Amino acid sequence: MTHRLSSRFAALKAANRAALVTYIMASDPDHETCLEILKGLPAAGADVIELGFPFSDPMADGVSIQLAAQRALKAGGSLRKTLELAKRFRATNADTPLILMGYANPVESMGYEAFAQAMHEAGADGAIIVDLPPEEDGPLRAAFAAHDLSIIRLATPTTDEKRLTKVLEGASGFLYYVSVAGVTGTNAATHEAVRAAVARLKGATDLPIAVGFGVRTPEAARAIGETADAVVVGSAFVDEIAAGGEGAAKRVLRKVRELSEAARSARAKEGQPA
Amino acid sequence: MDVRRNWQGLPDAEGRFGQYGGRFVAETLMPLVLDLERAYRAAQADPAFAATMEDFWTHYVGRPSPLYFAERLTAHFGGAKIYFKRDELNHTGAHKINNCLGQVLLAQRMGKTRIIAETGAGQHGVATATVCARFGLPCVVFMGATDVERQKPNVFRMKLLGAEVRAVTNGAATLKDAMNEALRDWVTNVADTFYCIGTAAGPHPYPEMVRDFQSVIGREARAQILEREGRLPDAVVACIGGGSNAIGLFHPFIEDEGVKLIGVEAAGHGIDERFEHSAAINGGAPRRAARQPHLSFAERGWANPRRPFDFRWPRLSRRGPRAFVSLRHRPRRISRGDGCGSAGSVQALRAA
Repeated sequence: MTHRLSSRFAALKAANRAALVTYIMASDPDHETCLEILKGLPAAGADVIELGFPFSDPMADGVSIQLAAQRALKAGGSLRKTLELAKRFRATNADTPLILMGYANPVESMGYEAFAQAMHEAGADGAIIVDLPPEEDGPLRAAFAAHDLSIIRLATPTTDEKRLTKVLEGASGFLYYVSVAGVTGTNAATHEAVRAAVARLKGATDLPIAVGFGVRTPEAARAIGETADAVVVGSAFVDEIAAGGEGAAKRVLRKVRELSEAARSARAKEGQPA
Repeated sequence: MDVRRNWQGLPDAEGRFGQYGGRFVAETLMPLVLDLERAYRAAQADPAFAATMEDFWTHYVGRPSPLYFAERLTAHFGGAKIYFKRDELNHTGAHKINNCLGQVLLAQRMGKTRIIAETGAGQHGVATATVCARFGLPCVVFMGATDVERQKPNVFRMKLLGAEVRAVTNGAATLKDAMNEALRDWVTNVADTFYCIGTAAGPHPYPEMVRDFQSVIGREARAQILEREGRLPDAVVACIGGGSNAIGLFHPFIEDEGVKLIGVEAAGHGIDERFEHSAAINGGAPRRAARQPHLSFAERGWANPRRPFDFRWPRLSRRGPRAFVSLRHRPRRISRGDGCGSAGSVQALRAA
């Protein structure tokens, strides 16, 4: 695991607070606005940044992120542009972990070794490749190992014990729990279901557990932050960009602050100030 | 010729056909796809499953379909004797039902109670809707809004058969977007839903199942030509589209080394034109992406809306002792990825 991810999660654990992981799509609505948002994220309370790279067929995503990908592609977004944005962000921020998220085809097309090399040069810390299950990510794993990059794996409500073992083989950074069987940004899981799932996952791994899919409100972030190590929010931010206009960056960062405060305060009531 | 000899053992344990195949799906679907493979292996080992298929093929689909000697077309070209394998005479008017029947019977064995499918021109949708009506299963067909508009009679047929047709407006509103939307439905309704894929695409074991269920075309054709001519043909020609008809016809001939296998793709406005052709095999070959020759635009984040299956789920290998012919001038009516345009087959003969 890279130093940035492990030290960030270690610090959060010491402070007994949940992390906010923020997702935005690279080059949405354009390169410069995206960079402006990226640069503002740490101060607004993002503990880990997920930067999506656009693909025309995002089959695990709901409408919000589908449209974000289309806007990004229209604005000239690509995997290379995404890496360039990551690099420009890293020049301004040395500590905040940044991971890329997207689909296998752009990566396969670039080549796994070239991708890992470019990630390393950009100062990115890891990646989630949605449609590369453990059975298919061998080449990525090999390339990432050579550059000390994390492969973040997904567990879902359909992941049973046996499957979880497979998912955890070679996983690093954190484990991303997809809290609903569905696409991003639509239905939300019940708090009880998330609590039970997080407990189960914690029994199987020491990796931090991040929970995402369908998390849009401070209330949901707070509830998840009680048990999970991190809360992942994406569509809610992307929707602020979709609304368009001049103030997109400001609106996104305001929303990040709101959700960050919720995640930070999740465990405060247990008597330990965040 | 080695490729041909090795072909029958494929896919391997990982669901690969050489460099193609595999399971490139989100983790939520992985347990379902693995479960499907187990169920398919159990069905393959069960003689009752084969017997049921055989019975439905004979009495419901109307198999075997004729092998017809096209006397006037043969005279017209003045070369090879031309035979047509008439799979459009099946129930529902296409070869698609061969596979739908197999997959829906499998869905029943697995206790699934809802069927979803994607369709382009509508033939696979009609076949799926028909088989679902036969077994009393609810059926939802995803179809690009552009295709819904273009293929109204098939939309009408599907609705008449009791299926729900969902027009997909995302992306390019064609077949690949319908497939994405079907996947989003599947990932949301994992417990009760079976995804019936009609093309030689999708995560393992779908391409293998489509090949196996469609191979009835080639098995019959091979036996029929031996009976009619006392010999194997010099060449077997099939239009490709999504690949199900071609692999069904080719597969039983793969070990017949003297038989040339010719696949024909639609080149539209030319295979060098980005997004303006349907030639997944001929058309996507950037030299630098050696492992996946057809991923020409992927790095920039685009999948070609007219080449619906060349991404995400790579399909059968282009390697092998086969000639693939592209038609420069595509008649507008050739369907894409779904069904097999007869105009395409005639042009295929001309090209051959």
